[in-house]
Amino acid sequence: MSAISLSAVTKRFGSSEIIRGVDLTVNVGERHALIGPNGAGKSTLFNLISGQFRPTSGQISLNGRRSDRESPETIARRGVARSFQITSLFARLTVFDTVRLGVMANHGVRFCFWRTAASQRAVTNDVLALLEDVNLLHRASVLAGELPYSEQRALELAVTLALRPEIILLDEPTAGMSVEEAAQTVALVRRLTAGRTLLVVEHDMDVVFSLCDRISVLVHGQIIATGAPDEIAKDGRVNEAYLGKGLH
Amino acid sequence: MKLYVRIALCLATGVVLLAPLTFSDRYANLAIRMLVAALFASAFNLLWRQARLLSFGHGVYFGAGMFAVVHLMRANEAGLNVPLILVPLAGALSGSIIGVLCGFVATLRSGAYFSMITLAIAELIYSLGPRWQALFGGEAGVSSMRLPSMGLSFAALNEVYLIVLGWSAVGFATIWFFAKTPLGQIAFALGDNERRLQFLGYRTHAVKVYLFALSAALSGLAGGLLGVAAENVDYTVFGPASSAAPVIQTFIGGADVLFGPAFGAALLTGFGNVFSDVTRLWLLYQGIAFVLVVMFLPAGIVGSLLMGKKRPLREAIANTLAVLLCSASLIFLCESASILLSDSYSSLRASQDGSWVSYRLFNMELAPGSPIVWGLPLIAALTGLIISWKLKGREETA
Repeated sequence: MSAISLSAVTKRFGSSEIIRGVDLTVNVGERHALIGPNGAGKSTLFNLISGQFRPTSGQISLNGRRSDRESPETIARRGVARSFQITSLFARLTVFDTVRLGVMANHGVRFCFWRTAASQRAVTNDVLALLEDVNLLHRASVLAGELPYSEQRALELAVTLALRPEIILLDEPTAGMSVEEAAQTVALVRRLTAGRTLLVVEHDMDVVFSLCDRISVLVHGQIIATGAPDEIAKDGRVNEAYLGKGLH
Repeated sequence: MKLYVRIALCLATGVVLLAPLTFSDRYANLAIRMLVAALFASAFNLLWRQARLLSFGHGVYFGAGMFAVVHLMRANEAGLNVPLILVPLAGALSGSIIGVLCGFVATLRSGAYFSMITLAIAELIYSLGPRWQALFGGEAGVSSMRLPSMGLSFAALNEVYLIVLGWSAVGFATIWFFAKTPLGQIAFALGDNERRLQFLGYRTHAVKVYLFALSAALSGLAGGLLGVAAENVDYTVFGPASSAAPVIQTFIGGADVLFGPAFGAALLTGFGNVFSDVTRLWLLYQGIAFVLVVMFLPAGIVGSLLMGKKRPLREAIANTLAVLLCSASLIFLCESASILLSDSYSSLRASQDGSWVSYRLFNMELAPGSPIVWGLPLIAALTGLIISWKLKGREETA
C-alpha cells in the first residue's frame, strides 16, 4: 500500500488547467521530493493532497483511503500534516502556545472548557520536547509574529510535527534561508521525519539530492519523470525542461 | 505591582462594588445598569477579542434573556416557585439556545459576511417584535412583579443589586477562565488564522458555534439581570441601539484588554445617565467620542493606559489639558447650536423683529452677536490643538 497515491488528477481554475493529469505514488516511509520550474503547479498539487482544493477530476488516496472529497480537518485527523510555503502562523500567540495547539490536536483536546490549557501536564511536556528539538526552547514566550524568518520556519515545522503525522507535506521548508540555515533545517527534517512518509516541494537541488529517496519532476501540470536522484540527474527530458537552467 | 498597592486596589474595588447596596433606588438602578452593560459588552467581546468575529446583532440575545426572565417572573406570579436568585439563569438559557441557532448560521461565514448575517438576524427579530403579541406583548411590552424570596422582599433595587452583582461576578469569572482553557486558546488562534487551524485538524465552524453560544448565553444572562431589575420589557430591546451599544462601549474601553469593554460600558452608561438630565445631545457626544477613540486611541482607553508607553507627568498633564480645552469648546459649540437652531429660538427671534436675542446656557446669559461668545471657545480650541500638535512634534523628534 502506498502512502500517497494520485491517479489522473486534474485541477482547473476557470479556463486554465493547472494540473493536467498527474499520476504519483509515494511509498510508506519514503522521502519524496516534488521539483519543477516556477508555475508548474507544485503548490496546487500540495493543496489538492492536503484538502484545501478539490480536484476537478481524478482520485487521491492517503494510506489507501480515498481523500479527495474530504475537508482539510478530516485529512489532518487521518495523520496528514502540512507546512506552508508562506509562513502561516498565529500572530497573537507565543511560540509555546502555537506548538501547544498542534500538540493538543494530537492529544485530541478540542472542546475542553472546564480546565486550563496550562494544567495539562502531558501536553506541556510534549510541547517542551518539540521546542527543544527545533531549538526554540529559549524563545518559548516570544510572540510568533516577532520571530526572525528562519525561526518562524522552524516553528512552522514544529507545529506540523506536533500532530505526529504519518504523512508530512513540507512546502519549501528552506525557502529564504542562508546556506547554513538550510543545512540545519535539512538535518532537522531528516531527524524528525525518520520512519515517516515525507513529500517535500523544494527549489534547492542540494537539499533535494541530500534529503530524498525519490524525486518527481512536475512541468506544466504533468509529471515528466520519477526516479532516484541520480536517475533524475541523467534524464534528458528533465535536463531540457528544468535542470539545464536550474542546476548547472 | 507592590503587594500593598494590590491590596489597596482590591479593597477599593470591593468598596465601590458593594457601595450600591446602601444606595437609594435612583442610584442602585444606575449601578445595576452599569454592571449589566459591563457584562453585556464583555460577553459581546468574547467573539471579537478571541475569534475576531464582529457581531452587529447582540441585542437579540440580550433581549431573549430579558423576555425569558420577565415571562418566568409572570409564571412565578401564577404560582411557579422559582427563587428569584435563580431567575436570571433563564436568561442565560434562552440566550444560549437562540445563540446556537443563530450562531450556527452566522458563523458559516467570517469577517464582514458574519457581521451582515448577525445584523440581518437582529433586523428580522426586531420586525417580528410588534407582530407577535403573545410573546413580545406588542407596543406595551410584557410586565411582571418580583416576588419576595429567601427572606428578602426585593422591593427596593439595592436588594436586587445583590443578585446582579453575584451573577455578574459569575459571568466575568467565566469570561476570564474561558480565555485560559484549551477551547479559549483555540478560539484565540482562530481569530489569527482560521485556515491554519483547519490544517491542524480543528473543526473551526464548531469552535465558532461554541464561542457564539457562550457569548449569547452571557448576553442573555446580562439581559436577564436587567429583566429582574426593570420588571418590564418590550420589543425595542431588539432594536439597533441595543446592538450598537456593546460595540461602541467595547471599542471605547479597549477591545483587546480583558476588562476594557466592562470599563467602557460602565463609563458610558454612567455618563449617559448623568448627562442625559443635563443635555439632549448625549448621543452626539458619545458618537464623537467613539470616532475620536477609534481614530486616535485604537487600543481603547484601558488598552492605551496599559500598553501605551510611559510619558513624563508634564506631558500627561499637557495632553489632558489639550483634550479638556478642545472638548469644552466643542460642547459649547454643540449646545449653542442646538439652542440657536431650535424652533423655540426662531419663534423668539421672530417675535423680536428677527434680532439675535441672547440665550441661556450653563447659567450664563449669552449674546449671539458678541465676539467674545465665539472668540473665547475658538481661542480655547486653538490652544488645545497647538498643545497637542507641539506634543506630537516632540514625540516625533524624540
